[in-house]
Amino acid sequence: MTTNAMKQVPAVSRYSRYAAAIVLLAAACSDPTLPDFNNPQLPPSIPTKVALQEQVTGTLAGDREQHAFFILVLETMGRDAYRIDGADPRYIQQPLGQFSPGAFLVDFTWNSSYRTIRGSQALAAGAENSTALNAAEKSGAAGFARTIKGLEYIKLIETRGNLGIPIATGSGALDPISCQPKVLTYISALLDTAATNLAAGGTDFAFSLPAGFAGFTTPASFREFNQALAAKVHIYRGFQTFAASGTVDVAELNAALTALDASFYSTDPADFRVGVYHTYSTSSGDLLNGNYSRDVIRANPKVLNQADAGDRRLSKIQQDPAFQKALPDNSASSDIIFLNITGPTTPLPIMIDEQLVLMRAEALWGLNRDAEALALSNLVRQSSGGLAPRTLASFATRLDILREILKQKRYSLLFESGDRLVDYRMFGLYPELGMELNPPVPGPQVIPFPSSEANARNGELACQ
Amino acid sequence: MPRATSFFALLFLSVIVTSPAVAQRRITGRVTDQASGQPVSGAAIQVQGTPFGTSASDSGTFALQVPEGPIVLVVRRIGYSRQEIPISATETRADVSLRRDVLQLETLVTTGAATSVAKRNAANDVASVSAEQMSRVSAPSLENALAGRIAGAQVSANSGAPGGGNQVRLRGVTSVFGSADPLYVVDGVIVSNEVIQPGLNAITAAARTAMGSNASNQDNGVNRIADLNPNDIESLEVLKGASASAIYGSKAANGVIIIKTKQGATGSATGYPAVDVVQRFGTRSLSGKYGARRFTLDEARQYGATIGMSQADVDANFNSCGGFCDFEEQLFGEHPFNYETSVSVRGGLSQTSYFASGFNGYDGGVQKNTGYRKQSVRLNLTQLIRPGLTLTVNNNLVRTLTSRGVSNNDNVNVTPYFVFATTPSWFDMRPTGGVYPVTPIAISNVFQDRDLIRSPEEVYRLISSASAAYSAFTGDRQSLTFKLDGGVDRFNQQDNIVSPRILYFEPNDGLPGTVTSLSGNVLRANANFSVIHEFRPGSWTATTSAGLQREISQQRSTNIVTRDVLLGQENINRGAATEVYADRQEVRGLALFGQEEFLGMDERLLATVGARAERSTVNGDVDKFYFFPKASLSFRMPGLLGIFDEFKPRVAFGQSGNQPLYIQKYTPGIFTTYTGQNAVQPGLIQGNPTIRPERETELEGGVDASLWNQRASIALTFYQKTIRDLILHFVTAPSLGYQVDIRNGGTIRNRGTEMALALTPISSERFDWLSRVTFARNVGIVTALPPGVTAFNVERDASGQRVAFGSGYGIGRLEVGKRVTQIIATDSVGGTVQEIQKGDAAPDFTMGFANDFSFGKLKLTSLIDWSRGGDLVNITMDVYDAFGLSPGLADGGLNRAKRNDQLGVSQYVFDASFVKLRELTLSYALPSGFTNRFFRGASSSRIEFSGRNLVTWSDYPGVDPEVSNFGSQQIARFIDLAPYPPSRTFYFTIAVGY
Repeated sequence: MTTNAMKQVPAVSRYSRYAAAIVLLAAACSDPTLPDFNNPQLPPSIPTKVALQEQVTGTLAGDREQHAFFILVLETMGRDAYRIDGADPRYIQQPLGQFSPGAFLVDFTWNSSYRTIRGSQALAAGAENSTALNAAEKSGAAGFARTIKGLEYIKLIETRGNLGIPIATGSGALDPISCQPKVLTYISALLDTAATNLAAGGTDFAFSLPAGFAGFTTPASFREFNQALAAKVHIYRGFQTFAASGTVDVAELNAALTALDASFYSTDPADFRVGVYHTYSTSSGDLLNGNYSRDVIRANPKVLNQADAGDRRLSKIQQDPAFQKALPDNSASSDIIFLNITGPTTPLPIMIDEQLVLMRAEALWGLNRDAEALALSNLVRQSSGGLAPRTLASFATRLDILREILKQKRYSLLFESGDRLVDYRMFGLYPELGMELNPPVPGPQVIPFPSSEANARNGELACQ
Repeated sequence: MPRATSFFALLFLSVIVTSPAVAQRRITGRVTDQASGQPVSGAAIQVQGTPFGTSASDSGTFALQVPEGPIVLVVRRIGYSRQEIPISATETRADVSLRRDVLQLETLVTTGAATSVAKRNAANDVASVSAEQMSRVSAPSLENALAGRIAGAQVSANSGAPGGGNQVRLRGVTSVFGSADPLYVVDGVIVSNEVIQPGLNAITAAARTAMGSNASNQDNGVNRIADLNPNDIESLEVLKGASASAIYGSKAANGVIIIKTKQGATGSATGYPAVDVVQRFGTRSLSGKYGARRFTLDEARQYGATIGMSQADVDANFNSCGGFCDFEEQLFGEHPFNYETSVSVRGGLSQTSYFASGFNGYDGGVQKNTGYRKQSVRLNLTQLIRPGLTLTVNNNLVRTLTSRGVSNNDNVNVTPYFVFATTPSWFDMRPTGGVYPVTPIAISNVFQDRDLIRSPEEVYRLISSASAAYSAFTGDRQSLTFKLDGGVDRFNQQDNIVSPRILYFEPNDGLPGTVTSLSGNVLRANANFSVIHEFRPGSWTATTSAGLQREISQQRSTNIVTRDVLLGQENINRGAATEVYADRQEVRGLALFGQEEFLGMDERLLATVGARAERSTVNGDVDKFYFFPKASLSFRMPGLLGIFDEFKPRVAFGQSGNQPLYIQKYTPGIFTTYTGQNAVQPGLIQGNPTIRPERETELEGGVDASLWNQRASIALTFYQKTIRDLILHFVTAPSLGYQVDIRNGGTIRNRGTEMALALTPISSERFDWLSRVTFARNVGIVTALPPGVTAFNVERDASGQRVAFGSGYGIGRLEVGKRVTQIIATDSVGGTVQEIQKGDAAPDFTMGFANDFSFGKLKLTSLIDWSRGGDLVNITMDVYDAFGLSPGLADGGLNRAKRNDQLGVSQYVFDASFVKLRELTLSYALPSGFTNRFFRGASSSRIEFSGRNLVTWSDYPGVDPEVSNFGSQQIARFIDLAPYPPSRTFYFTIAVGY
């Protein structure tokens, strides 16, 4: 080393010390933990009534998310509706031909329901643990949450039928797939618990409900909605062996009548449209009624062909060659539009009185109380359809009476409920819905599990 | 902080005291090409062993202050072999002729955050592209110029729309849900390559109502690196994997692209700066069509009957088009007038040099009302403040205005291909007398949409960087340099879509008329401080560098969609139904790095070890530093066996990462409103508060050799790149109440081979032929998934958006032992519906062939890009088939679609192999007499005919085998659905140098 170099070395090491000091200084000041700027994080408990309100509305928003889609798919399967979409023939090919487990039609009738179930569980548990609520308010919130949870299970079992569905425990692990009878028993118990909760819910909820729930905004009146749902489940349980063996569960059908009595059931035609609805809005962040799509949504021509002449309820549809819409292989074509969805914010019913009247008719028919059943059916036939009543003698078989009830249900709840498919399947009458597509095929009675669900279960989908 | 201040004062003082004496002598000279005698611009001239240096002007001239006494000038230029010129103590003139460097041994390749080394020593296969190659043929975006040029870089255009939109994939799939982009570093600034989707979803409803009307990944957005002006680029380096890019830490797993822009040069021979003017005129023409079923009149009548058209109506249409309306030709048959003006000034005074450029260009699309306009100004300034202290400031302001029309997936029949696919070819869609015929099935009209929909996207962008290099100390045996650099990349993107209510599809949602206003704001800022110490005790050099990097990234976007808008109104406030979306992200990070390079044994051995430690706010633990080491070794053997000029085995190892995305540590709830009430629901995604970066480990080895007196070179590289701790968005059983669970776990292994061959079969005074061939093959396999998981479908991206339409239309699936890019589709197997493997999206291999012929003043260059294998799912065909309108089949594909009814889609998976003539240029350097007569004062001029994507050879039955409906995707880049079709571009260029 030259002397020059000897001098330089300390200079270099001194610089290095400065540099090291700068580096350490910069490293020492830590960055903050940044929050999620975009989305709410669901708290484990409900700290305030505002938070309670948000989660209550969120639970309803969860049910509303695919409500219109649920009706569309089930009404397509029930031979009432077509979505003839140039961009996507799957809307016809799958519900009337064969579902593909990977398709969105399958996902959309599954995913949001389970997400809403998770939300309602969080709501019930959060309300229990909340310090902002008194005992009655807690009970009311829990009753609300469990009722909506029951509604989700009803929708799930209506689409999956004998495939069964998992009953979500919220454990984080996969829950086994329970068969239909077990699921229905579970839903009945769940709705009963909810009814008990609501009964202890005091005079008012600690939250408000959207306009579509008008008349059902207190624990007592909301319980009437709860009982309407309970009645539906009792009817499903009452008839669950009917298709296979022609037998009914009398106790369940009587339980359905009891539940209907505790519901908002009314035989006054002025009350027929009373019930619980989802409402839609054009405001930011809100949802539109997806079933208002005059460009692609048509009525199945069977709606018109199979109607009684002069039925006033045909004003819900309009036929005009200008509306002609077809798939090119003619697997589906129609020139009939629905008029009862008048715009993108038209409310859609969740459950209405006219439906309860006809549900009661079904239950009575199951209990061999045909005259009472027909009286209710005729009530709807006359007051809604403007048609002459039918006499018991005019029916060749008992089953024809049931067919008449189901027909009234079809036209009274046209494109507003998925009941037609569920009823025909339950009563073993599905083949009577007729063949569709070209060449004609009988079509699916249930929607399969989504492929994501099947994959997560390694394809083991048998119910227990 | 008095103590720290005194540190700096001391530091500064001591430097001035110990600086060597200021140089006095001035040397001037000119750098020329040995073969052609033409001036070589931009060559770096340096006095060996000192920091004194400059670069040659565009006319090849330079002037340099040098120390007294005999010196050696080292002259280097990308593309030329380096020359060492001894200069005696009395000489003041040095003319240098450089020999073309076929082997690119002199290119400086980046080895660290602050260091670089000549390529002949490099231990990695770092590809570089020169300014000349970048700007040969005008390209929408700079990545287009890379396609076919770099072994191991797969560059794919997401569509043919003007304005860019490309994916660059370096050495295979390196992440599943993380960023798919390489890191772009421009003059030391990490710049944004963000795609802010333009929000077409508001009118196409491509992502359906589940996503609302917010922008979706099917909107055909542009990745914003397109804003850079390729003409400003001096060099571009591609670090393809962790072994080279480890020093960029946890954003480098997809590779790093390092861009240096042109800098000033002092000392032109004339005393005036070099001025370059390049004027291009050009056009485009449609190069790929899907075609359509042809009908006889009888068939047309039959078809018409099924869709409710009267025979008279069918006949009238049939006759007006002569039986066949070529919709694609009618809509995409434009030949726009395109132009580009590029002016640059490069010059300097004694202590100051600058490069200034201006650019104005218009690139129209083949569809009327689509096009891309770009204006850019740049000023790069270098100032010598004191001997040893240099300040450089680079500023670039860009404005782009893009109109890309409507393309990709669509649920309302507005995308042209959806309307084509649902309209029989005998239907005359053309407007007559201002009336647009309504198509019978889709209830739409593409000409009406073309004429009335506006979707301008305007970007203003400023990229600024500053760097100070301070040679604190320069001695015989050691030197010490401090570098402080940093910069800011800031842009704003505005998208305003106007879809008037009179469009046929508009009233279908009950709210006719749609107007959107989207504003995206992005900020990237980083600052680096580094210290480089070079120690040269004798025959070896040890370079130690260390430093830190601080960075911030912010992104905010707002999208307002309003509907039911009165005709003629474009104000976002004029709709009856309004939705607002907003997103904000912020990331901060800090990194420390250190590196030791040892160059010894007569510059034959290069050994490097280094590491980077990094923390970031996106990690679960924000305080934890993640450590990314690297090491490499190369050994040059000149004259081996008498055959090779050079022979260099090399091996490199490194780790880098892929940061979690901003959202991955959070479990977001969904916020909506329910008729005016706020609503909070559980979200689709289960976040992970302990998330950590993905970790890529790469081992790369190979040999570089040159032979036959540098007439040929070959680089052969083998690598294995393993990515562990993948951040996976598991598709869970939805019955758990969420659909996606975010976890670290699983491993992807990429193995590959790359070869780059360069040859000069002929090299003479009159005729030169340079040929380059690249080959790359990569196989990516999933080698592990977390315990209990055997496979899962890649259905949604990190933000919950779909990246596939479900297995019914082809989906990606991670499965242990299988290709990471496999395509899964449903099919009927023995009567039951099953999901089975139906293809693989990744090509078997890619090759590039570049040939440059020079014949006197004529030069012909070509670039051919070959991609072999790799599949694409042609859903466009499925839409045509569904309506019996596909070309070439008597039933228009109805029977093929029937299989789809039976849930098979395998018939839509096609081999997407292609060979493309990417570039072809014929240029002629005008004789000097001519130049003088027509361009007064000019020193050189040339004219040029050039074209891009002129020919595509492919059996793929779609418009283009490169397209991607979901844009840039790591896995799911295989969906062809109604793209903007590709086109050829042609340019005529006049370039004049002053």
